[in-house]
Amino acid sequence: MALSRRDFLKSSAAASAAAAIGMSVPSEVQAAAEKANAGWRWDKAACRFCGTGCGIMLATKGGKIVAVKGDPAAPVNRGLNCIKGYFNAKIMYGADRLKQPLLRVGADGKFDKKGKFAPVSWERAFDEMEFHAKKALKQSGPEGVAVFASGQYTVMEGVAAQKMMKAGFRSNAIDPNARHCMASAVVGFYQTFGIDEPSGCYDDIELTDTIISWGANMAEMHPILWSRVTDRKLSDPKKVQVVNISTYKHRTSDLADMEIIFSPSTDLAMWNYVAREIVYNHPESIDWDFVKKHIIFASQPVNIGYGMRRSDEKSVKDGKYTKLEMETVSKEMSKIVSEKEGPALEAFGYKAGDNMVMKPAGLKHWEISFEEYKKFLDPYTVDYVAKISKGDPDEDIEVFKKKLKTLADLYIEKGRKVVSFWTMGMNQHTRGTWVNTLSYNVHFLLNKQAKPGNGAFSLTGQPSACGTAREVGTFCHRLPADMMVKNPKHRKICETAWKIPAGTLNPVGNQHIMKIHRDIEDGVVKFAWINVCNPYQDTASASHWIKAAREMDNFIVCSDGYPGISAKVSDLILPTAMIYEKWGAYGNAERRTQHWRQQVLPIGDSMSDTWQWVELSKRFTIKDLWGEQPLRGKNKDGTPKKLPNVIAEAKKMGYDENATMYDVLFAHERSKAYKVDMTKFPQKGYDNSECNGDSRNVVGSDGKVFKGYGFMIHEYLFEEYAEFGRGHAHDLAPFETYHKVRGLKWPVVDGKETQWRFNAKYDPYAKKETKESGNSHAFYGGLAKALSQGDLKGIKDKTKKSLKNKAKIFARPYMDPPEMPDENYPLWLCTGRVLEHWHSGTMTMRVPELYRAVPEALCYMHPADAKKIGVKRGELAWVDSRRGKVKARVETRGRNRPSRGLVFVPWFDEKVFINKVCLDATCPMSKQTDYKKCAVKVYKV
Amino acid sequence: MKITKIMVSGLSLVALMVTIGCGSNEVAKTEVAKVASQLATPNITEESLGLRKTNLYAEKAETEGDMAKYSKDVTGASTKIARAFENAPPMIPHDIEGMLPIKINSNECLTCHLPANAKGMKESMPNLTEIPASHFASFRPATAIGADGKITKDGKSVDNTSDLLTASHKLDKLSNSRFNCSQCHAPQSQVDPLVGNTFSPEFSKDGIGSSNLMDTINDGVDIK
Repeated sequence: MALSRRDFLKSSAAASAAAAIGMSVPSEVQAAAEKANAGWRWDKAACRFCGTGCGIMLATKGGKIVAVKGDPAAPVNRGLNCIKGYFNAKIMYGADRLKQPLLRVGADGKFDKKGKFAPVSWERAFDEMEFHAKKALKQSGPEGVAVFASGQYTVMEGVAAQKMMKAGFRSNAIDPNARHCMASAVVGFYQTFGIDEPSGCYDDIELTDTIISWGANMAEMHPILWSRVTDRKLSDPKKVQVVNISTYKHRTSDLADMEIIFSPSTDLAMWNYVAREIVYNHPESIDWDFVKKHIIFASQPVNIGYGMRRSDEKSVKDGKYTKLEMETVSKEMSKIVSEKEGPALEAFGYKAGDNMVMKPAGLKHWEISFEEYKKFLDPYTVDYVAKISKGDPDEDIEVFKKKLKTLADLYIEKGRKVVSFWTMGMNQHTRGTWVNTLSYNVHFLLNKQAKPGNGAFSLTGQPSACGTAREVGTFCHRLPADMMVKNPKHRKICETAWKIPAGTLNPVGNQHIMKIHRDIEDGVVKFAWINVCNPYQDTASASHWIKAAREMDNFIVCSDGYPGISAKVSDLILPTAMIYEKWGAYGNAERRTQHWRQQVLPIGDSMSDTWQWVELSKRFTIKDLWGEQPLRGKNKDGTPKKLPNVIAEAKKMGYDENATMYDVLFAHERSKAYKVDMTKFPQKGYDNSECNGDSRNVVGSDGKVFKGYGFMIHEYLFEEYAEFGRGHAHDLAPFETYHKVRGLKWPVVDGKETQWRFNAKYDPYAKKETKESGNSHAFYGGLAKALSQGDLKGIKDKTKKSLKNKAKIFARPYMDPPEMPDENYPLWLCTGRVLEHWHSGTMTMRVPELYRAVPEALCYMHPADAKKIGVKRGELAWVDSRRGKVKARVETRGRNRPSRGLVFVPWFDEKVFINKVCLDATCPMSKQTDYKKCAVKVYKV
Repeated sequence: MKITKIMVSGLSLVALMVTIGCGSNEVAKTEVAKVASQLATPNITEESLGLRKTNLYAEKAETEGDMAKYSKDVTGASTKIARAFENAPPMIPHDIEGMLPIKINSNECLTCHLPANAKGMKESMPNLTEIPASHFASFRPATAIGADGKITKDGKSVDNTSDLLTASHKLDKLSNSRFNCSQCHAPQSQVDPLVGNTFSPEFSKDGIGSSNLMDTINDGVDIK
């Protein structure tokens, strides 16, 4: 070793080494520390982790981040972070960061699916990607090229990926892990308001009297928002009431005035119970003036399945699903209506014992009368709801009924402000869209929505699920600013803005993230690229997908900072710049957009996802991609679906057919107008690896040292995207503004953010819409705002009636999930996160402090259930479902304390690969997986 | 596998040197050459990568989680864990069995760590960490709706919630927003990390043993 032990100790690094092995700091280091803190450069950034969107300050010295603190100027968190937030810097410094591309090769050095990994150059990596993407296009058309995208993409990365996929490859097979996280919330927003994202903001916490958490463990998953709730609660403990509604006891219960433990999926029934209390027993609490001016009622089909595979799909026909698996999957075709759901379904024409034949219904719904809605609510009496909803078998039913009544009373109490928060419990749900909309029903009836301190508020899981996945539109069916691929007008707007020929964009967008996995298993998708996510660890029924990746004829590429499970099952791994190694922007759950600058150079030869997309675009010409392309399926007239040849049109626009997608989509007059200027704010003094290259002299995709694009590509990508939303209720401020402020909540109009959307007092768009009517609110979203008329069971009059500026209350019943505990699999399994780890643990398991805080995923269960199977606390047990099993250590007294009948196993641990056990059923409307409900048996190892 | 403490510091040092090496162009170029020579050498197995070194496709005996071994040291008898970096939240060195959950009327952490209580205990527990001044302050301006319906922060009507750059209110009791101690402070399993971490903090004299955040929290906040 070159350094003596004494030298080593003198370096400040010793302090971290000491911390890493848990010894106290030697005095030599204390002496050296006197000089430190000089030359620190502080800058602001957004936290890498959850959707809360806290601000952090990073101190950099000598090209490395040396300290982190909570940003006292950030309105979200005002100087405080959670344990993960404080370790934002350390996630980038794990010793096994990927430093070079790795490709599976055989002894001859050629790609070999069965080979081991060998380090290769960026040039070779792009050669392989080009070859395999072209091969996939030839075999399957644009639907054969797919991207696992992310709610953790920066806004700019999302824009780059979206453009190359949808405009370049003409493939809509790009869908983010955010699909697993808030798709049900999104469809809920679209169906209710006609536009995505919450009406309220986090200031509601300080302004409300009541916080009701439905299916969210805010104390662990949104800890800073929980600290704001705690602050509010403790500042006025008598008046402020906190209720935790969950399927098991967890930390959010610890501060709550009341805890309601319910049986999985019956949140549907409980919301309808509260609505019934309002409509039947407290009709005086309905604000009829508000309701008549702003609300209509709606119904829909109920036999819509559970988002699983149907019997005519290739892999099912090929026998890739076992008999045990098919016990559950067969319910996608039909099921017998249970005693539990019978009363709720009667108004829709079903009774217990009936065979319900499932039919895909999409998002179809129609207007009904209030009387029909009232009829629908009738069965949700306290007796029925308590009977099906009580989740703790050891709780007295009368106690549970009393809790339900208290809950309703809190909502109904005149003048009491109420915020309902939820996260994955209501989103990861086979009726997730339904239960999301049911929350607004209650708030609307009472006129307690979109007002300061009042509202139903969907909390988002990921740091840019809102900013990138939703607002940029990196979903298979979306385009920027709430536009849709299937809407010809929206495609036209994008084609014009992106200067690409009319007809380039693909109108068919159905390859959501589960469909991409299933299309790989069916042999349709042949090329898949993983960006900023871990789909081979995070997807339910995981064994199917890892097997399809490894054993079938396809090419899987994974961009990551570390070798996670997805990297391991891939064919090519790309070393990727992490969060503060690039310029970026995230959008949080309160519509706040936050930017940061590149703080340090990436490690090894890592480059950002933006760079990787732009480099890939150089490999494809107009001629390669814009000829006629086949699509699956047939048109109504029986002809095969296809995309038109737009090469001639492109030539008319002045393009050479040999021009690359780099020329067309990224490097042109418009983008080059965004100048690199290292003398001015915000660029001055900050690295910019994409625009200038950097001192590492990374050898790029052409075998030459990468010297930068020479224009400010981050600003260009942001501004081009932002232009779609300006003037359309998604207004974003200029790029430079965001570098000066701690984020702004869109729509930002005349430099002012919007606190409460749809409220004429606060939202300039609502103000404009209510100018003539003088109404208090305008729910101005434009999607599905003309409906046919009918009753609960169906459409009676197809004439579409406009409901401009109105929102909807839906009649949506309780239904069972497709898999429930039975004799063979007697327990519910719920999965989720823990405070100390982010998602699959790829980053946080490499921070010694976080790893040591929670080194393994435990199976939390009731002591009586553990005793029944003869397992003691701390012993290993198998958690076994129809799909697979994993081992986990049993915990009976931990932070999660389920009632008898349910176990909770978090998913951050590669060694406790719980998604092999989980079921890939989804909300059939939102396509979001239900990770919260499947049936397992647990037994001693 | 058990690695001794010295080996772990050795590993961290090697990792550190590699990282420092990568910083200079010369070393970077040599590395590129090295990559070229390795082109035809598929020597990295899937199992050698990542945190799980066992077969990913089957769940057999060899695959299980890393059992946590939290300190059994009673409060006062434990060795302080060095902070990860300046003003990083200190980790919990003692056994916390029975101390959680924190409830609205019972927060056992405060029994020892509140400065008022800690003063009298210092003699028997010299290592006892007192809750620092930063926890007896609120940096959040008071939010209200003004008479005109506009939102106010610390009484000022604002267009944007970030308009008020910083606020600092000293409190005579623990800040309510910092009541959930386990949000930032966690016990540490006495196991070796799965992989090293090359993050190198720097400490000021004041920051090495305790928090000076109250004095430095606004440093660098005004972005120019």
